[in-house]
Amino acid sequence: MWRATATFAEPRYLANHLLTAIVSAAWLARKRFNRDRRTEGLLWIAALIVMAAGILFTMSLGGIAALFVLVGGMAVAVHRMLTRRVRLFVIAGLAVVVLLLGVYAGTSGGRVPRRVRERLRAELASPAESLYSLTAPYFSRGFYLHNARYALLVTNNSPFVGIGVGQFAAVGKSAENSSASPTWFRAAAPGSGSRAWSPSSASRACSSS
Amino acid sequence: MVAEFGLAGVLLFMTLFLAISENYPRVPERPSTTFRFLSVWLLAAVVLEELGSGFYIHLWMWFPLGLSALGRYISVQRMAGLDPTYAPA
Repeated sequence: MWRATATFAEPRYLANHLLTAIVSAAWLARKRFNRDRRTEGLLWIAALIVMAAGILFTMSLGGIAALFVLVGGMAVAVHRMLTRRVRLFVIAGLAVVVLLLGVYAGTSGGRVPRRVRERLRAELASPAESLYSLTAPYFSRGFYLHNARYALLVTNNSPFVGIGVGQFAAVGKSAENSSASPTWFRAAAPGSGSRAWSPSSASRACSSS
Repeated sequence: MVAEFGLAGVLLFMTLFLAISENYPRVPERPSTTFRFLSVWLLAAVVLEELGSGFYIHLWMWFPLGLSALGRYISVQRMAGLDPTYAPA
């Protein structure tokens, strides 16, 4: 499945960066509207919409959920400063956008919503035994559980200062190679041996097999 | 996050987080302090992106917190400029 990544290693990294950029665009739009420079404000709103579309194309479920919460929250926060006429215009515009999105999602040609639905269904339906499987098509939930389990193990070993920045996968690799580590600990180590720990690298492994 | 930074790192992160968000509800909204908007929503964006990533945090994803702190600082300075009686706690 194609997912937008831009220059990042993971689609969700792109989604996370765009979330920050969306806040900046909304802030700049608000500043322009405050100074009565509406054309510039609308251009920043357009930039916000393009970035929101970018988040949708990452197919990052967490990123998409965060996008809706963030944009919804910001809309509620700024609605008081809009005049009645502008507010009606914005509500009408949003209604049209939602209607178009609904029509797009309902048609068979709507690839993005179909893929988001596929991802959501696969994440929710994946049985416990297939969570760590490299042959399953989409399984980021499994990797999050996998990483969380390993994080608890290493936290238990070094609770106060941790294992160091950027060492999570590196320690996992040495844990796998150490014969002193118990088998289940080695199996849980992220970034080790044949067990890829990131959803995108696993996807690459799937697509190449 | 806890695995790489330990409890000490989590404590530092929480200190930064609380320092930026301190007294938000008590600071009155003024149209000219749009930096407050930036600060609050950048903070929200970081929390949401980390929630969405299952708290698999990378340090380089925290840079919005610095921008948020700067927004907070400018907002407070402007509030003080608008209202001489305003004194942040």
